[in-house]
Amino acid sequence: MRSVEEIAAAVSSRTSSAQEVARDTLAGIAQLDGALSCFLSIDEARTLACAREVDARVAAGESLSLAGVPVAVKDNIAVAGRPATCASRILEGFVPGYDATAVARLQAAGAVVVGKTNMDEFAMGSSNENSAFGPVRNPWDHERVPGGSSGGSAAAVAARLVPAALGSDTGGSVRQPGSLCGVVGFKPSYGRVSRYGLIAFASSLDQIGPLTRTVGEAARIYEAMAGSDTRDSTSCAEPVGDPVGAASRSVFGMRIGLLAEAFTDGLDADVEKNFRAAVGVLEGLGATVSEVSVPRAPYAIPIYYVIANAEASANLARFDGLRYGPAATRPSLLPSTAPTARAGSARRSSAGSSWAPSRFLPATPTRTTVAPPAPGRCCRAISTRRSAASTR
Amino acid sequence: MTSDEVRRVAELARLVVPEEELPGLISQMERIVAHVDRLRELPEELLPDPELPAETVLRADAPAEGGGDRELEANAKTMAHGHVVVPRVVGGAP
Repeated sequence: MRSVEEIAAAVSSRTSSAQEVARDTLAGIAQLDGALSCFLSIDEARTLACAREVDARVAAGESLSLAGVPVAVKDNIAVAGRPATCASRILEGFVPGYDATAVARLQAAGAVVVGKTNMDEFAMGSSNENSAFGPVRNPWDHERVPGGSSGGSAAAVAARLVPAALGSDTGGSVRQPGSLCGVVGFKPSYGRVSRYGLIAFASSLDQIGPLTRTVGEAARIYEAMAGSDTRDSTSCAEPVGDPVGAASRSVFGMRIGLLAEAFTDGLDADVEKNFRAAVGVLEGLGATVSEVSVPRAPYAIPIYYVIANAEASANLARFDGLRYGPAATRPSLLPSTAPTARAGSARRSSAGSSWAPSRFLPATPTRTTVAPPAPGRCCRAISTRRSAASTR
Repeated sequence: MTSDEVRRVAELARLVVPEEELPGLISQMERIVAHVDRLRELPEELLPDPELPAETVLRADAPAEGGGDRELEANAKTMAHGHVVVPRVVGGAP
């Protein structure tokens, strides 16, 4: 799989066509995704039609920064004419009639959506074990989880099925699967990327972010979709600047803070070792690294759980069988859904998410443990240990 | 947490919890509550004054084409007389 830059350059110079790239990508997915379950839906006809359009725009002389770049989109982000299930049976069969702003902007820049990716149901979870349509496998080791909730997007990039994918991050859902799959996961600052067309989880925390193999590619995807949007009143009016240029600058002379509170008892020794090695690389390149203490940082996680769960409760109230979702045959006002034996779904909303978000923490390990074993092979003790680690 | 409290939460969440799972859930719920309870450790005087809510951003109130009824109808399970049919939630049996 070529990089975002290589594909855009080849399609722009017409040494490759967007249609060839799309066909190769679809063939790769057909060959490899059976073992990984990264994708919930693929629409070959739409993908090829979109690629044909990009070829026509290039032939007409348009300059497109993402010409022909195949992109996978998390299944909680609207792409017109393609299902958006949020990996839930509640939204099975729902097909949005419009594109999310982030998707529309990527397509305007020449990107080609190939499919919708698997996730934890309604973006609640950090392992991708909570998808109604089956778990995603970590491409590096099928016995392990890919992280979540954007696990399908992260695994698709790690498996080289696509060069870039979109995820959404509320409490780590782009950064953490990026970490567990060994790819770049970037949560933009709140307000930078329009959330129009993103099915809401916790509105004051949700952001759409890219997953790619390199920081430079993430910057290209981010640059194409960032910026204010009249359809999202929380989007930021400040100019986006030059993220691609910024991503290519040297770290020489940069001051990087290391959050003292991130190095807790729950931190896995291997994670800490690798994190410190990465910090060593930055120092070797001329950055100055010093420890910074934010004594109140540990409170970020309980605060996150209060905010996220309260907002999720409000946002998910629309899946009541009237406005969205299947309806019980004889519903009454309160019990509009039948009792279910899935106590696990209650637990995950309070204990299943990941590292708390914080815009104050410039350099911390993304996760306190390495990717735990995958569903079907994981025992209760491991699940418990993981929740304990994530709530430290 | 008591088993009655856990049963009540399960009832509100429309979940069936087998009796043998109750002790495990009690200890998990206790841990969750204790975790959030840590917020009491934060002295209120340390917290900044709440910020004034940002002004609501509004766009010009200009008429524009909507998404169209076709897409809406495509997602409705049943339509009748140009309306989406939903289950009865008030009143008696139909």
